[in-house]
Amino acid sequence: MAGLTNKGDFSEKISPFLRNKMEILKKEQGESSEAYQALFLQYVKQEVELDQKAESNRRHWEADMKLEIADNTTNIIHGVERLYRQSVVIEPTMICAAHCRYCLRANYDIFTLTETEIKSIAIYCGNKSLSHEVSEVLITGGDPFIVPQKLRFLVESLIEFAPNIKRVRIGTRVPLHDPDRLDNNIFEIFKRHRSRITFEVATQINHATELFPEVIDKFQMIRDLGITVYSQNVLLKGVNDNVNALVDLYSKLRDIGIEAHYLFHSVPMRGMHHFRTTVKKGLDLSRQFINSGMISGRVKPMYALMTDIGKITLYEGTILGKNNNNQILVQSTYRYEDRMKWNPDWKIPETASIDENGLLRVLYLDGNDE
Amino acid sequence: MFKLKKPEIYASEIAEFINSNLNGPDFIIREPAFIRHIKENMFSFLSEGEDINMMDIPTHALIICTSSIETGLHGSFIISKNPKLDFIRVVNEFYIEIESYKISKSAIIHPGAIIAPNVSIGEHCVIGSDTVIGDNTQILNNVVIGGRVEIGNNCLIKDNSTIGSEGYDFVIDEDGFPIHYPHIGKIFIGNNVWIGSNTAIESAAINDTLIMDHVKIDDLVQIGSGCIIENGCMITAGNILSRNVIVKQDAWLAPNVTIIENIIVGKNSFVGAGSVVIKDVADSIIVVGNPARFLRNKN
Repeated sequence: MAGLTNKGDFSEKISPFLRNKMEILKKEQGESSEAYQALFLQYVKQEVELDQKAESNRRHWEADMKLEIADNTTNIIHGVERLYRQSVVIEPTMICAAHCRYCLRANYDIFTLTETEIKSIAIYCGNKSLSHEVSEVLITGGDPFIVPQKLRFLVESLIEFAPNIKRVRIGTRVPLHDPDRLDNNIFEIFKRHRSRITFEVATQINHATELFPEVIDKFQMIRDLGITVYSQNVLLKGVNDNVNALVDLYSKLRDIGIEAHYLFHSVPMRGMHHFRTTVKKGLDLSRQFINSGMISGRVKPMYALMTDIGKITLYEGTILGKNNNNQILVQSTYRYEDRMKWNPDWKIPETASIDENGLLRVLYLDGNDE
Repeated sequence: MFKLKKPEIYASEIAEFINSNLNGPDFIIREPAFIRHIKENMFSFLSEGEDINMMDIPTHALIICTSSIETGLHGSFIISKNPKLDFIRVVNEFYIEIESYKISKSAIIHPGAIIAPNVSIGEHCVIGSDTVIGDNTQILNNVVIGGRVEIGNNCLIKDNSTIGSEGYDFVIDEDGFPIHYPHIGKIFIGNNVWIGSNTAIESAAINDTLIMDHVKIDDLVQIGSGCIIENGCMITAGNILSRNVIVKQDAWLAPNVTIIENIIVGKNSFVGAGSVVIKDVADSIIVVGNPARFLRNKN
């Protein structure tokens, strides 16, 4: 598997900021409090991760692009993926300020791109075969806010070599993990280039307790620059798998001006089984908290699965059935033909098939509610 | 220009950033340090030839070093091919905060000047009518830019420097009086050029002055009219280049070098400190002395 030479030992990494907050919560609210558990479960490594379960995948999908770097050597650049028509995913670093135990990239190798590699990626994004359809990049990782100089170089390289890129989305949890690290080095990127690029910041907030005053301040500073902030969260057993926690979370997100995007079912990957509810439970919870009048329709997330072929939002008719191996058959509207056109290096995973209309279907391992 | 900040960053993160491994325990690193002044929770680098045994390295300090030095270390360290370069990269990425760009109210900028977005102009600068300044260029305080000058992107022009002020060039007439030769050429400065404090780049006579990409000019340097400084040259403090000197790509002039007019300094050559260059310097050699003489070939 590309990008997977590490031994799968996903180390515990808790930023000093989070460690301090956890100590305060433990002291003030107790070890069994929902607020403390929301952080403990997300960041503290537990032995249960080592249990042998049906969740054995080490990657959520394969969508790496093979690019040669600009100096004509044969090195292949890692850190570029493409699954969708109008966007390319770029990972300038795989470092994060803290390790979320349910991270879908937990088993990836850790690397940071060089400037030569970043420039090659920007040139690739602007090449003729892409420029007519790719107008957006998602910069993720890792956490791009960890490396502001690299991020700035990437944004400026895209402006220089890929003028077709009009939108840049940046995925980050730095404002939650270590708000002090979000400073003028990042804000200057937005200030300098917002007239040429539409920036959006994608974050992930899974429980309202994560919204400490320092965190809210940093999101406000981003929003003050005219940048849209949205949150794509994960349904995590023990953290937010109840109606009250979800209502509280989405109400607070609305209060601070963060838009609700996806609510993902926890990905079926090694070491994450203990976080995974059934898909049905997520549907029931969504129905209860969205259609109960308890929360404004303005903050409804889209409940979605991260399958082996990409994101699939659950609508009526999306789930086709379930087999004896606890796998759900999910219908997508991704066309195999399109996927191969967008990324010729893509290989159809074993769990996927092509239906009579040329659309992809995929098996998705369900969780449990025990 | 830069503000030091003291984030709490794990040593392992520094290793990951430079695509290497951490050897030894992981702990918080709060700031960079010079190797001889290193204390707990700091990090530094060790160059070839430095004797680790002569230094007092605390238990919770991180050293970036080459594999040949590794055996003398007991604490936490990261192996690097170029420790100083990686040290600088880490400092740049994690331990400094840049200042916001701004154009100072006391700066006098002619309405005819073309200033790209994101240019900083410091206090009391004077920018003339025929000036073009590229994106992200930073001009510090008291800088004077006049005449026909075009400056590229991402340059730094430090305090009190003068670019495009009338050149010193006289012809003696029949009555023995010096007649000034009017300078009507243009100065082109490329991208990512550094121009030090109190440096003067004279206006060009007729042939243009070219300072190409990635040239780094130190403080107190004089560049005469019509000079051509090619990509990547390093011109250190106190250099005096008379008119029409050509410094070829990647040449390095040590401090206080004087070069008379119309000289060519070869590609990748090195001119030693205090040298006076009165004849052309070949490519890839080292010259020293007054007058400058061949010392040896450069590796």
